[in-house]
Amino acid sequence: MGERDLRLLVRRLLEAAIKGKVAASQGLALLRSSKGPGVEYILYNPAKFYELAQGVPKDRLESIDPSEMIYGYLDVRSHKDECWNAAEIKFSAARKGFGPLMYELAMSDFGKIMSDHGSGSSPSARAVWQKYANRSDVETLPFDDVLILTGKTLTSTQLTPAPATHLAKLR
Amino acid sequence: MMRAHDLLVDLMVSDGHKKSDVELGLRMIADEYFAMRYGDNT
Repeated sequence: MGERDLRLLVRRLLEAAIKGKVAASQGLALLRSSKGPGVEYILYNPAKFYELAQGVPKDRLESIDPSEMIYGYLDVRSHKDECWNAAEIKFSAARKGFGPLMYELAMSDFGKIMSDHGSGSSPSARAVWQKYANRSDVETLPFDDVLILTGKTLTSTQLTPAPATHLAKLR
Repeated sequence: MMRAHDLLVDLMVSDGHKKSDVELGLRMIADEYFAMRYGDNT
């Protein structure tokens, strides 16, 4: 078998394997990559990505329109000390119905997750947290001890005044 | 789903792409997706 035939065979095997996985995972693939102190999750349609990649130069993949192939994006940062050491959801975007799946991917890696402390949550992210509040397989926790600055002295702790549904872990 | 990603990368590498370029491209496409929804995330 020549090199060309071997490449064709490999391609067909890979395409068949992808089709099989498509059936097993509703056609979606996940890229999980470390990014500084956290992890980035990208849920996408590999068949659509492959199709769209045929139409662009190899060094211009980033020019592909994301609207047809991206299903979810999540950027999670590890977080120590406050709030049960829960990881912080920094950026999230997902098609309707895929938000909870993205958050559960993060929960499976980090255990506990919480909403973004810096810029807050978008309305769609708040909807995901509200769904968790009603799910029996997810435990919601109050934000915990935060040191309170009184004058120049750290004197006491109290529960962070934030919705309990913005911190969660799988039971 | 991660296996599906590995298979996709294998397929694209067989087409002449570098794995690092494929994954960088995916990350940049995802960044653009976020930007389309909510604005820049930098």
